[in-house]
Amino acid sequence: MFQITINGNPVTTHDGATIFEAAYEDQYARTQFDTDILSLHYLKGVQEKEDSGLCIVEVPGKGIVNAVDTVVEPFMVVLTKSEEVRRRQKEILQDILKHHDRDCRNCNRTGNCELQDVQYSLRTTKNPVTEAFDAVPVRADGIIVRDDNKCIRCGRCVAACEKIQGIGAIKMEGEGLTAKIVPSKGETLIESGCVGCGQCITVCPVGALYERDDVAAVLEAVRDPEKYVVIQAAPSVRASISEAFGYPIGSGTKGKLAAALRKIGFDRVFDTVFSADLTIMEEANELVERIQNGGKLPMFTSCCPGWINYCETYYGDMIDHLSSCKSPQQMFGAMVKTFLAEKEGIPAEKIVVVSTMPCTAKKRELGRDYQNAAGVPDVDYSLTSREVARMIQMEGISFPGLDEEEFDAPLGIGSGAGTIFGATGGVMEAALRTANDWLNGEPQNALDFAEVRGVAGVKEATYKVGGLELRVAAVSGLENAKALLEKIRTGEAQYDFVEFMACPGGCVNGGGQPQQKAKVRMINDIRAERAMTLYHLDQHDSLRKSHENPEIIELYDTFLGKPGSEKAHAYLHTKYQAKGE
Amino acid sequence: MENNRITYTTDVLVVGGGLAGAVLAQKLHSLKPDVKITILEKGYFGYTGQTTKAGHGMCIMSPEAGDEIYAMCKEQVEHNPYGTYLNDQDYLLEYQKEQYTYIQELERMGGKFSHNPDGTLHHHHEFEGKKISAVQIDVDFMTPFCKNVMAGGAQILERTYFTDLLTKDGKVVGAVGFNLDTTEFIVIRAKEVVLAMNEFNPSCRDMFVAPATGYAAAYEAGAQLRNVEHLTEWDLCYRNTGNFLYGVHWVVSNSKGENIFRKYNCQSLEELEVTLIRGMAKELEMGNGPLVADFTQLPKANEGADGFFHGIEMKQRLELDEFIRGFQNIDLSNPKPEVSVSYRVSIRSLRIDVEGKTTVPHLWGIGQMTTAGSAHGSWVHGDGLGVAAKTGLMTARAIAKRIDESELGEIDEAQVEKFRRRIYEAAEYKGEFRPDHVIRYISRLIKKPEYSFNKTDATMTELIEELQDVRSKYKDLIHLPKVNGHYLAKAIELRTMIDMLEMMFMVFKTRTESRGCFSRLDYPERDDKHWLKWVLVDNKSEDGKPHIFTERIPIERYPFKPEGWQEIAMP
Amino acid sequence: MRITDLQDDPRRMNNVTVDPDLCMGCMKCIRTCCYDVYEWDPVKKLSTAAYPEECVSCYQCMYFCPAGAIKVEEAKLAFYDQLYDPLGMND
Repeated sequence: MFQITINGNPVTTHDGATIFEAAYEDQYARTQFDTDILSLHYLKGVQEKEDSGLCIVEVPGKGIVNAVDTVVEPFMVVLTKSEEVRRRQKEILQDILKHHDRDCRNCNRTGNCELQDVQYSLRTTKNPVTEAFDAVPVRADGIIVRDDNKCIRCGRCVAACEKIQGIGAIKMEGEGLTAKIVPSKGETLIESGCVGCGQCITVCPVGALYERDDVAAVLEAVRDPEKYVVIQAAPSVRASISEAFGYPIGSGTKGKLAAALRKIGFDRVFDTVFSADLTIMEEANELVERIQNGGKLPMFTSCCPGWINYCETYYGDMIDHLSSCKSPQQMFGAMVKTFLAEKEGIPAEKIVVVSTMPCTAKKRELGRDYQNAAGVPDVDYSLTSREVARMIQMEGISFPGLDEEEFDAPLGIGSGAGTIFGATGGVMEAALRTANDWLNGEPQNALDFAEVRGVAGVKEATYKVGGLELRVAAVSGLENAKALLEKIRTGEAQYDFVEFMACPGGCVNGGGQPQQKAKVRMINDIRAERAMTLYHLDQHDSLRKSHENPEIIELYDTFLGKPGSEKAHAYLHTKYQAKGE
Repeated sequence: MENNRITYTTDVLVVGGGLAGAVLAQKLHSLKPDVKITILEKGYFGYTGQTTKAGHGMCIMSPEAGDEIYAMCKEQVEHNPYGTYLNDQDYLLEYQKEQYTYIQELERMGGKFSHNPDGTLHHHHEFEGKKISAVQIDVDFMTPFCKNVMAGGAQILERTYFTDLLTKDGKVVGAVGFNLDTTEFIVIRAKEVVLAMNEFNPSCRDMFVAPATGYAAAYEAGAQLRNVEHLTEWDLCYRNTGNFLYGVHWVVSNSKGENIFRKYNCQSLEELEVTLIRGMAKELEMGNGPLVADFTQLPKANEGADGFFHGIEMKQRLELDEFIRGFQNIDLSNPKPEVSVSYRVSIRSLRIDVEGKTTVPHLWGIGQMTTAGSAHGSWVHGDGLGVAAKTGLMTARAIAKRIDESELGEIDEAQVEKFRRRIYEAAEYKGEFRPDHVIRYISRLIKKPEYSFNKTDATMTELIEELQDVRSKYKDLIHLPKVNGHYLAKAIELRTMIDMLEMMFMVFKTRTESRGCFSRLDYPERDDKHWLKWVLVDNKSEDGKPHIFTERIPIERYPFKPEGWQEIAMP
Repeated sequence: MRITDLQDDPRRMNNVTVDPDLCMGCMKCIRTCCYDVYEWDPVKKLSTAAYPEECVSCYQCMYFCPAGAIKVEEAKLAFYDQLYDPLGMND
């Protein structure tokens, strides 16, 4: 460890750190001194370079250098706001703004925009938001919308798709501020192999990328007296939607979420954790059957639609490994339109099922074949956490002022096991808790399968469950999934059960989650912080196993019979199709 | 709008989402996670209140001070601006003990303070010869506490203007108010209510301006106020811009170059005493103006004489100060700028005990609202944040101890209706002026020399009559240009301002002596023989006027006593 | 009290403006101001300085505005100067 100075203030750093890293490393220096270095391209863990020209500092003796490319030396003097540094940065900002649609008031990122932050830091730059701008049409490509007028060509979306997800469905064509982000193959994203994971959206520093907005359609349904509109909320949403209202990362607000949704006017407000428990019932049962009857192993989880799209597109020969279970979102819709419809005498055609998910791929899951238990689509709309946050704001609801409320019965109770679905390894752990009890014939004390927790890309473990030795793995991020699938294919890795999540860290870091800026992500691991909320909720729940959920027990007793029954298969299971490249 | 009524029910209602309220809410939640906390804030939670506007640092007992806590207390008793020897010395001792540990506790709760490169807390001696030092904070000091309070699940009613306390059988059972954006009427039932609404400062355009609503409500609910007469303050400022100049009042000179501080035998290097103000006024009257601050008379080395901020100034504060300087019309190169004084008379007088309980059951007070009312007398100019944080912690612990036994009281619907009507009646007024016109008139009025540094029984009577005259007329004088939350609030501010100022000046008349920052021309000397008493006021009178009475200070029981205390009448 | 006493001397009042061509609708000014100077239009997503008479010159709205849309013009004279005003030295 040694010291450098930034703007005359002492900063402690270590050998090998770049100037940019050093500016964040010393937590006291960063709090009390201005060690801020501007950047727009750099995003920790995704794209650790900066080509905008903004990320510069002055080092007497070296001149103006790129802070990301320069390594510190003991007693180095760093000036982040010298006249020359600021002069260059302002020029670059002007250039960027010339190519940027400055209608901030109508942009959904105003107040949470990294370009606005740069403008603020450089302070004297005034640019009328109302100045005329030669706009090009916004490109709506399936569920992903790209506004080229806002794009600042940082390349983060390309990096996320290529490096983190190992897909590379988009590429940058051309150079500098007139470059264009286009599908790397074909005309559309789907043709280019996009799986809809939405990671590109979450890494975008400005308002250039967003999901297809279904809020207007949902509100119309809610206001329609002929329709019975129900909404289900995923566990990850309660761990992070509050971030859109200024709460710290990962603040759990389950009660306020239920209250907000009720205030908007949904006829019923349900909990997806209920159907996460349902998924565990069916999936644990399926796993045990496959093991005992020589079925296809390893079994792959199937609740992540981004992963399903990936498997079908790139590993079509391995789709037999996939569990036939629908995802919790879809199982939920199926139960609402069959079980609930029957119980409460509402015709399935009148029911509109909406979900709120941390996910963009869920919008594509809606239209899948073999996902219509009652003869109509199981789920009608899927809204991301961001869309629901916007909906709450549009309705003039003050989120912090809400009272805590509960989800509605009879699809409103969820166990701690179901709650941790949002974290990578959570589905695995939930399944293990249930399989463990079933295979041992009686309730077991083992609740915490800690080896499958954490934000590492791949986690492996072997557990003694009943008479079986279960070899399990949990992987998140599609680049990691690819590596693991190759090993499975060649036989290098042997597992019985593998959990796959498209988004690194699991659903809590999903493509539909509130966006956090690069400078926040330098310091906070949002995957870990949001996941911690879910584990915390699980720890403090008196109900921690899916099969002990009284509403689930009631559902089977009165409607489904038992896991894997004919009815369960008809309503809760699905089929896959290899799409090929 | 007004016919929409929203009712909330909660365990602990905190009125005021500033530093005091946020610290209390976070601490209480950590002690009692199942207790429901609702915070009422008239602005937005997270960046509102005085902390962000004027907070630079907080006072801390240096570890080196060791067992000097008694020396520290002695210092405060003998020199405090709230009236020398008028301290509740029991409270003072508890408060000073808190001074040892509260910074560290706040840091554990997420507060950010200045640190040395080796990681230790940086504090510097702010005041020459005093046994306290100060740690620096940044502009957004409050934000981590607010974020933690939100994350803890508290219910935060933003843009909600508190107006009155609900009572039943002499106990507080809740509160009412309205939404500033929608004007909807809001009723809240609570087991315990904590007032954290800052002082009442009727000085317009003063950065510390704050309405009287909290005190008026507490007073109406039967709470006692104490040390009402003990907060008049002067700050030296640049003439016309009003920007403060700290630590240079002892180099104020007239046009002849005479040093006014010395000419009038002033003593205090910390506070602007009334002798200096009268001296400055006299010099101007004699034609020796304008008055300037002669920087050439300051010592060359800045050893404690040039103001507060020696420590590590935090980044946003530094940047903000520089930013602001760029807009103020101050010529920094001028070594003899023209100066005047910025005067404020305010109250921080909600009476509380060591735990923060007021004299009304289930009503608590914390923060600047109680700084004088607690009579700890240990307020250092600029340590408003310290008061907020310390009292927030002390009262959170006290509430945690008894909240389990607390119950919800019944609401008196007639009382709710009375308050509701009083909020919205201003919509009917048809006068010529706006409420803020009258507020500004009163604010100018009370600053006149004859009501301020030259006040006498006769002039104060005159002022009280004038206030009563305004009260009898204002419903015909004002109208609301728009029936919106802003103007409804202004009308309430006007009404409560008049009521509280009338009460204040009646209290001023009562104390026939000068002591500490309370001074009057007709009784210029301190009179320990007759006035080692607290002047108290509540509303428990028969004629509807403020009930003013005194309570003898148990000076014989206290460790620090003035000279000749034995001659003071014993009970 | 005379009615003329209720009139404001414009030299003693602040003036605050928000340039609507520059305002980005981020609401930082509104969250910062605790004197209720600003009004928010949720439809146009625009902030206006509706009550500049309340401004106390803390300048934080100007400091935080990312667009530089806010201008706080300080009053030329003190609100009330108890030393110079009684002597008519500010007339």
